Amino acid sequence: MEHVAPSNVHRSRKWLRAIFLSRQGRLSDNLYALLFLGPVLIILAVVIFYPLVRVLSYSVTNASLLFPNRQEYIGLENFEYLLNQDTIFRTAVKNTLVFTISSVIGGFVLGFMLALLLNENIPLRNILRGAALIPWVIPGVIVALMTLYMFNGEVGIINYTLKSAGLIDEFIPWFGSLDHAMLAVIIANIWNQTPFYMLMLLAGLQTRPDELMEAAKIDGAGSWARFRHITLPHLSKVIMIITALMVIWNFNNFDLIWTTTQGGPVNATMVLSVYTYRQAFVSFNTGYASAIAVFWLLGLLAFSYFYIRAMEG
Amino acid sequence: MLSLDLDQYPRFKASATVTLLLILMVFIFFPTFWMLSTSLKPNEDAFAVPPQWVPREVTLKNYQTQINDRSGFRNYFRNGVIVSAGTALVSIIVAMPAGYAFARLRFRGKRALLLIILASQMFPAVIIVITLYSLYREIHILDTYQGLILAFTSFSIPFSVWMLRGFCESVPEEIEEAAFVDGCSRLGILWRIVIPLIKPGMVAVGLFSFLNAWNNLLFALSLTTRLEMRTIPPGFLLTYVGEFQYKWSDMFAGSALVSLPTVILFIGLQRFLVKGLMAGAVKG
Repeated sequence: MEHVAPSNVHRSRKWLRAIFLSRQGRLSDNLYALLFLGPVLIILAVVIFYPLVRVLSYSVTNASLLFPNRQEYIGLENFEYLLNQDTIFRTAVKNTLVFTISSVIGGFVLGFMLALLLNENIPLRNILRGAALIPWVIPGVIVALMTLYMFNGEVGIINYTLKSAGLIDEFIPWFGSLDHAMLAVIIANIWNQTPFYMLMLLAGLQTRPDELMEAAKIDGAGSWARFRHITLPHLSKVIMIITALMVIWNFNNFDLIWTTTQGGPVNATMVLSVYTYRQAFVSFNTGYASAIAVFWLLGLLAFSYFYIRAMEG
Repeated sequence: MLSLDLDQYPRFKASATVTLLLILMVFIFFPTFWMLSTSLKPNEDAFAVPPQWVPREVTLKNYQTQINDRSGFRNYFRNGVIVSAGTALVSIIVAMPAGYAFARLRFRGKRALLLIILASQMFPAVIIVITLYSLYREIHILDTYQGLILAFTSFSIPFSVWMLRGFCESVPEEIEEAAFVDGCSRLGILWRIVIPLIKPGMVAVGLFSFLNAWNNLLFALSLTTRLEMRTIPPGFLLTYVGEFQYKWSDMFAGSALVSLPTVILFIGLQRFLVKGLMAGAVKG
């Protein structure tokens, strides 16, 4: 038996494989798929898709949590009010864009710098890589509590440091100030998310072929040229994926702003998620909150569409 | 093309690297240091201006206060453990076969189903919770552990399925073929061959789901109304924001206690997570 010709071994393995594949044929695979995917699909249907459909249907009613039995069809009234009269909604859309775009740019730039630095041969590299994840891992509510303390107007360490450095003359009441509250939550948010960009970009950098870098070096390409023509193209797919993810996540961010400012002062940090939540659970206007949600979903859909088109070039 | 080449100035490159790294490290680590430092101070000292960078007087009193707080901290912590462990368990059980199905079975609508599952994580939780609350009220699972576990599980499913699909694909198909030839059924292959081989993936999914539930504010806040059912995030929010915002030291002792497990778990786990994500991404 030890001397079976290689081609025979090959043939018999092929034969076994054929049986394996045929016995998995259409019908039984479909049945197993139903069995294996059933639980996941049921959970998603109940918790995600049914509520989404219900949001669509509520958006044309005056449903309210206060009156569970009253729910009248009111046509497009919610949408008319939303578009023509609701100035807070407009503020919320603007703030959401400011919050999302600044957070993604800030987090990406800092995270990229960190990833490049921690990809160099520096002492304690592995420990730093792990420890640098801490801000991302701390629960969102705790991040918000830390923000409240550090940006506190009277005892906050940020005010103290800025004043000692001569950058400000008076303590800034960060969360009481229309001009500063948004800045404070954005900084906190960037702090929270920087490690995620670092983690993903570092993983990408580690698959960058060394030979290519060496060859470019020998051919006389400077460090900038190597970054521009080798590193960036190599990372482009990872960059596309993480920026898309983070745009969507930040668009949906609730924890940080709800815990620190609840949208205040005077709507200075009111973003879509907080405004929708307030309409649904503070003012109990389920119908109106649903109308906002429908708009929001359309926005997300448009973003995804253009993003996918841009990715496919 | 720019002719800038840092390699020609190794000294400059080294010192620039170190300086930049130091600045970024202060940015990354200072807030956590500050939380720990404050948690070890008597509360008066948390108000000191100029601030005490290192506690003048170190005390563990704030930690004791938290650990002895039956109706507050201990209650939130217990609820958090129950709900998060439940979520981890359910996520593994439901996502495991689903991940396998996407990796190995050939069936109608496979691509579309995978897309639906992945897309479900893009929907804003705030939107879903508007009507999920009404649904929960109608079927009487507001304020229950089952209700919270169900909601949290739905949010960790997309990631878990994606991860486990990647891990299942990494199992050599020949092993499965061999088991099949020896008379093993699909279920047998899954149970005896695949599961033992992808245990690391299951652990990763479990921990990820645990942390997701542990940190979730929105669902925990909206789907519970009674104090006894609060998990940590809504519990802390209601305890420390607003009225009691002057209890900084207590707050940070509690914060350190609830962050510690997540920090340890996550950093220990990151290798699996990145591997799973990358495996999924490469084959997607």
